[in-house]
Amino acid sequence: MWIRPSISYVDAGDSFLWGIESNIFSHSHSSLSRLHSVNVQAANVPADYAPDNKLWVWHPTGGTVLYESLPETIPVLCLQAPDEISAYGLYLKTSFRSLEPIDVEWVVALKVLQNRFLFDPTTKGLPPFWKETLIQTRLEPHLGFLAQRARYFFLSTQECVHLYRKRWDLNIFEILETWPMNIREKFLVVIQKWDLSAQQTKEDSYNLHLLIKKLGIKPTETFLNNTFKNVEEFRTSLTRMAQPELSKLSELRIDKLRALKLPPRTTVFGDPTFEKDALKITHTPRHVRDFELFKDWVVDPVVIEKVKDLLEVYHQ
Amino acid sequence: MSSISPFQRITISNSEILDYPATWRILKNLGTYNLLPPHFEEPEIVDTHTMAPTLAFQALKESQPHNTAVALGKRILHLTTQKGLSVKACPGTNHMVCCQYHVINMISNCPFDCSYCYLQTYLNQPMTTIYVNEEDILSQVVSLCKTNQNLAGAFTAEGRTAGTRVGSASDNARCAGDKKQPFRIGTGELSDSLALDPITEFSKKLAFAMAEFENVRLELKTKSKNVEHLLDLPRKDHVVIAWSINPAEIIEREEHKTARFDERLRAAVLAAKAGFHVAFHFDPMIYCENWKEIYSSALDEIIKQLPQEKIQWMTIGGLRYQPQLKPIAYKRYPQTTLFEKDSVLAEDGKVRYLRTIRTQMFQFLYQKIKKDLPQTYTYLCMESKPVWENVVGHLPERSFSVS
Repeated sequence: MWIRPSISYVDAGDSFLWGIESNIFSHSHSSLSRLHSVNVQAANVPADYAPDNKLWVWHPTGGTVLYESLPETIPVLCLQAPDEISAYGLYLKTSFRSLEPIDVEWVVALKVLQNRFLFDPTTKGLPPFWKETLIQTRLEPHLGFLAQRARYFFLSTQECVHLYRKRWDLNIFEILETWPMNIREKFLVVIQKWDLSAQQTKEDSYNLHLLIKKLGIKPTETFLNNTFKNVEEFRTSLTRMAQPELSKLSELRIDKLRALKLPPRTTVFGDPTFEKDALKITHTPRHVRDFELFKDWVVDPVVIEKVKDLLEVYHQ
Repeated sequence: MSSISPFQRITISNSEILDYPATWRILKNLGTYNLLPPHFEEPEIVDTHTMAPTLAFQALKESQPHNTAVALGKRILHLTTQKGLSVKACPGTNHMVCCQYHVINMISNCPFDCSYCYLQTYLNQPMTTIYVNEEDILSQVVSLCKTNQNLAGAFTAEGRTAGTRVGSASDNARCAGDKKQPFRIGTGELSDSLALDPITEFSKKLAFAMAEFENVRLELKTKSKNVEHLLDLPRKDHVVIAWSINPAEIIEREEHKTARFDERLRAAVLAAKAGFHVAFHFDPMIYCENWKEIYSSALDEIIKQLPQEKIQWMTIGGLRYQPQLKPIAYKRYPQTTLFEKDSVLAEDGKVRYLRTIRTQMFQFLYQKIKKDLPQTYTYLCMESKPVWENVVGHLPERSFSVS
């Protein structure tokens, strides 16, 4: 699994073969010839390309590519390194230098390290080129940062791709770890269908989690299978089912706020978490007329009653 | 000590740790209580900076509930020294009413394993860490007590400070006469005060050090039943052993490895009979369908078993947690029912039950305490002004402040 587009020779610049250039010239002339012969930046190399003379290839779209049935030709970068794990580290360094990685990419990089190379950083430390990769991305070159990302090994490929495309923080999906995969897949479909924002996704994931706890897996699955008219309907239904008391108060609050029929350039803020029971009324007049309308509004007995109504929501 | 398993590793930060008498006392006591690792010979010197990430990676391979670094850290006992201040004002929480408590941190991490424990999202260094430079820490404690002793006369009888209110009626009168402001200091912030105390013997040393300060109260906050080792203290009236308490069902479901409800109560009775004051913290109150019934029974049981005059104070607090706790708790204890009631993210960055829900819960318990234990000072922990006003009827005065 590899989620970022492959790096080109041009983008990589001088750093592409950094650290091994001298090897090529001084010790491995035949390898250099091979590099030229396969035209690295747009290489079409046969899939059964065998590592030769310590010239390893790393396929930019995946760790298992050399072992599974694939199309006959695949794009590859050829990296001179003593072994595959070094080539991987070098590729990572080169790729992450051309475009700074986001957290989910570190998760993917670590997953490859674990799944393909069975590399255990707790006993072996950082693999080749990872220290330099961390330093160039302005991170401390020790396992602490990586350990935090390793917590997200549970993310599926599709979830990683979504996080990557949206450039979201890993914690947006953190609650998904304890969900069954079928619910995760359906939730991802919903996120993509309604193009939910990061904040919405996080809120909805917590509400969906409550639904799983309250109703169980099957009813939650049925809920996600429902056809909702729009995103608002989906989100309102979810909140109503997961947090009925909060939902009821929120709906009351919104109704009462709407009923105030505010004069121009006036806003009323009531805490949506209901922690604070003070309303904040602001008026920013541009003309005297605005202010006169505001004054009339403030003393209007009907408005006063409606404000009382609104405040009562906070004292329920 | 029966609920605690032997440690898997005993580590030290450097060889100088072996020069501290506390190190040898702790190792000896670990042996006495069969808590040393199998075939233990000597402590390993470890680099603590590499331990946390190592445990985090290792946790990925572990099954529930050991699948986090903090959980694995519970199995490792690390002895080191505390370089900075070990005694400080309780950080409280932003925008909430604070009780001006002071905390002594001699241990970090806890052998108990409550599913709601905030240490799971708080500790950078996950091992069970004991600071062995106890002389430095005790001198900080004495210095702080001296400073607060000099505040004598800072309060008046009508001042109704938190200090006066947390004491019993007789304490209040005595303190009012002396014009000294009672000063509370406790050890239960980053660990349970008594869970490992038979091993460390820190509480005894603290009690000795504080005994000369008439206005000081040492609060030992625990979910354990470990009080026997304290019973021979020559002076006990300045020590308050406080139990964090919940109904038996909630202890069973959420407070793993702790003493059961009846065990805690038996320990409280033993402590009270021996001459200690006791306190109870209904904190965190946890919502469930029958919360009224179970919290009411739990309070009734306390009242039935303990003389009222021995109960110095009670506190009430609701479940509160940093948002990142929820996935961690579910990962470790999937069956937890902690987070199933409507909640919001409060101003201090912690998730709490909806204000209407917790106000209702607090009002119920507060009124019952006021009715059944009218002499016992009862206050709310880490709560907002509106909740204080709705539950207690007014805000606390002086000493309490809004942080």
